[in-house]
Amino acid sequence: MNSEKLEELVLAHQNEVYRYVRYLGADAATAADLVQDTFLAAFQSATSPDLSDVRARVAWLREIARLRFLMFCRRRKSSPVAVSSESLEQAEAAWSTEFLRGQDGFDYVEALERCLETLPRREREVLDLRYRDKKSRSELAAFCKLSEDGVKTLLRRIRASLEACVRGKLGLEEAR
Amino acid sequence: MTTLDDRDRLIDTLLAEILGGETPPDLREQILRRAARGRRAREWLAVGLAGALLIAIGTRIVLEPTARRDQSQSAAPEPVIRSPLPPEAQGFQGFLAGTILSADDTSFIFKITHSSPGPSNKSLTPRWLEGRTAHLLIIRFGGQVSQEMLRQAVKLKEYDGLVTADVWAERDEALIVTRLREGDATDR
Repeated sequence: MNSEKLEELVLAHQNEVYRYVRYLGADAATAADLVQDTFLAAFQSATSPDLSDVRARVAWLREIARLRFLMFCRRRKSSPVAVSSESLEQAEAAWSTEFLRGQDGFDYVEALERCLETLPRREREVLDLRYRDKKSRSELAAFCKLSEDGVKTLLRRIRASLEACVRGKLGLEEAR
Repeated sequence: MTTLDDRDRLIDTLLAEILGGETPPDLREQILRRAARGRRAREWLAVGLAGALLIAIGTRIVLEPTARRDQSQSAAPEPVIRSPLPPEAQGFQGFLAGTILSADDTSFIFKITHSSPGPSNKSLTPRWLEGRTAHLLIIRFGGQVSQEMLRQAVKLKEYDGLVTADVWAERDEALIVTRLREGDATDR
């Protein structure tokens, strides 16, 4: 692979690789480092799939990114999420079968945006405070008059309802 | 099968983008700069090696008579792959064929002639090890030295032929040997 091909690859896929490593559990700064490492490893790799096959090359980049994330977690000996080769394979399965489904995930994001519009006002407020205003869990607890664990459970419940809504809009099977 | 945690994290990641405005940074410049730096380093290395080769040839021509008089003088040691492992060796699992240059109570120095990835290999560049010299441990971290392996290493050090080592990389820290035997893995 030459520098021009590398640049094309980065332009085409850096956003997806970044989003992917964030999804695996990396924080924003780590994700930026891992994206760089992933493309450099791809650049230096002696073997690569057919780069004209978009799905194959993105799957290849995700595989490199997973390995880099696993190595990062093992080096750190602590990780924001429980990470093993098996858990990362499961995460990849969710990414490719739920989010991408042979496409680019855009329809999933669009469905989620539509589902956000249908959320009850109070749940939407909680999400805005958490994600838009970056309020801490204790601040959210004070706002919701709940314990911090209660806020965690509430956020999880809202996300689960959003996920169910997305599934409905995309005509996906009920999650088990 | 997908797990609840994975699906929850997926929604969490997307909400951080949609509501939090978290956009992936454009890393093109950094990546291309690092790639160019790596390429320059490899080119300089090649130039350096070529220069070193020329100097070595020149030195040999000039000093050969002296060298003949002092054959006991040892050759300059080549760099040995040690802990922490370089990225290319990280995740390696497989078979290394080569010769044992020296051995002590817990490890030996192995000149690798052939590298073959095994079923659990995670290294993207398993054949990078070929032609290199590596420090191989016969002790697991926090474990015991395998006395049998130690005897085998000492015995095979005198063996005038290829030795095959079954090796796996312990995180990014060291190459651990789990088995040693005479012969070349490629012959099997």
